[in-house]
Amino acid sequence: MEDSAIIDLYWARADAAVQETQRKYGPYCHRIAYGILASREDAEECVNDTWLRAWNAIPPQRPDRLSAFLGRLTRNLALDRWKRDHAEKRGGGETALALSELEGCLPAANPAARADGDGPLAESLDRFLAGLRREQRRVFLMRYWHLTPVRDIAARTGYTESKVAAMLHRLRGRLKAHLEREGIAV
Amino acid sequence: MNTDAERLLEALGGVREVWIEDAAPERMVRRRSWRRWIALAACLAVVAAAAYSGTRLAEAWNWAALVQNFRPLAALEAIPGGTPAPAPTPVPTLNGLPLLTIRESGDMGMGFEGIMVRDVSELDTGSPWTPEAEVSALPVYRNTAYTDYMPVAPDGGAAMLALAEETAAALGTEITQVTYERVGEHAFGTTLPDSAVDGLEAETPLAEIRVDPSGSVGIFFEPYAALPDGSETSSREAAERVTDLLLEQYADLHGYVEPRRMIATDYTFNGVPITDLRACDGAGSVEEQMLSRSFHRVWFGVSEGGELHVLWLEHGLTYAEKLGDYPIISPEEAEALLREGHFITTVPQEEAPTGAWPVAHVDLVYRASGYEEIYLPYYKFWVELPRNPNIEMAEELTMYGAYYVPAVEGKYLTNMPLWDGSFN
Repeated sequence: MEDSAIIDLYWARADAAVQETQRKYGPYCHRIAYGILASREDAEECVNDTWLRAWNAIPPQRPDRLSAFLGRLTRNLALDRWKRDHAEKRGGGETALALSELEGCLPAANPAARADGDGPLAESLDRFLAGLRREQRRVFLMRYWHLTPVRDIAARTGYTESKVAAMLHRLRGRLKAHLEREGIAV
Repeated sequence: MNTDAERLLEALGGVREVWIEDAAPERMVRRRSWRRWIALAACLAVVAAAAYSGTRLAEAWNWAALVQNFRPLAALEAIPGGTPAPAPTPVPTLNGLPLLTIRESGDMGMGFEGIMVRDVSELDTGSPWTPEAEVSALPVYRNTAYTDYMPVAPDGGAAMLALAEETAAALGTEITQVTYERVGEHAFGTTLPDSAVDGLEAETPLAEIRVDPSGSVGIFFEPYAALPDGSETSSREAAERVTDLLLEQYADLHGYVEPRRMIATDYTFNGVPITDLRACDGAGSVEEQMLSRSFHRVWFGVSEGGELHVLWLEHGLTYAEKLGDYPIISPEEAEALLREGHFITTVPQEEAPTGAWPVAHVDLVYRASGYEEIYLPYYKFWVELPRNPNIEMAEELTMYGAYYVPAVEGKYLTNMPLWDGSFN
């Protein structure tokens, strides 16, 4: 079913809205949640929460890109759950690995840098990503948005794993330099 | 754990939706590497002839027939709805051959082409070329999909659609929906029209077929295609068995007269082997086999569960115009050029390879990912790299970096590469 038709179901408050969403985007959202939580049961709960969030958000929203809208809901829910579950213990799983990778690209503390919420950071990230070539942006977001394992990125892109790892290493370096230039404190 | 990294990870959640969609692993289109064969006009002529006459696609991909049927690029202008590629700017010629300028828009801009193996013998992936082969000349092509940003279809995607349709037919299915990917949603800072086509997705009941302007055709099976029980690729022998099975199963798709396996093994940093199942057509002369290997290679993606989840088949000369057959240098001459710094590489080493860096393996290949303006042959040298103390790598592994030296005689090049200390 086309996304526009699914969204129309939400607006009509039809039960079929969630069914159609689950049919079309269930595996996609499950993959995102599982990639973060590494637990089928937790991922399933997260995806179910996604449908509830979507039901409550549409209307009044009418997403332009339903897959990205749903994916973002799932990702945020999964990350929140991951943080809650791992408040005391750290390590393991793609989320922890991705976080440890991103630590290396954070600029040194700058007392004069801005630290006033995530708006400037998000805008800076947007500018950083806009300056990348499509393939670079894809690999970066596959790793740090979709939390895809490096091996899977290699399989999907056709690059070797060593190339993907090196690519991400350089992109993180560029991100650090970009954040420093823009005076962003994370 | 550093909560600042968590904030960064969360802030990434708010990036543009079009980028999120474009980067979804399910949508990832592979662009690169194994190169294409068949001149565009010949491809269109053969596909059209096959469609009209009901000829099996397998027969239509016969190299000799395609060479005989080759027609120049001007044939593209007759395609309705297409955007003819601009006529190339007249260039000086030598011995009747246009001089060549190496220009790449560089999707290889980040990361480097390297491989980790346990034994140097694993660098030999079954290439049809060996240093003993006496190859004196090879064809060079102009990539008509080339732009300085990314490859786009010069004909509005017509040839890409034809590839998708023929692929579906070879699979015994038919296309139910076609979606074109256009530059407009992704391009920043480029003068390319928003409507330019840089990808195509075709849905069928069996699989999703994706085609890009480099001629790569990706078949994503939904659900995964089952293989006989026990199919796995953990050993070389097992990988060969599975490859033979798949080559036979998809004979109508690749059309090889004499399928030739090309099994490649790379390793993760922890030493876990990753085996690539590839093949080309081993029929004909060394030159013909080389072109099949570079432009008409097949790659099978087998999951850990022993299922075929993706198949890539290259039609790398879909958008290409043959410029001529150029004389090539010997591998010894190429190695001398390597030592003088005349190479293209993405290896981030501070010093060019010298006598202290042993050449472990040499191959003769085309650089033709779609991001090159000219498809010409290169000697690809695998050079052993010094162990990097900053990279944790299993002890038994050795890393090699790829260095490319143009195989065409230097007098035909306007810009012989010279390493300037940077890496692409």
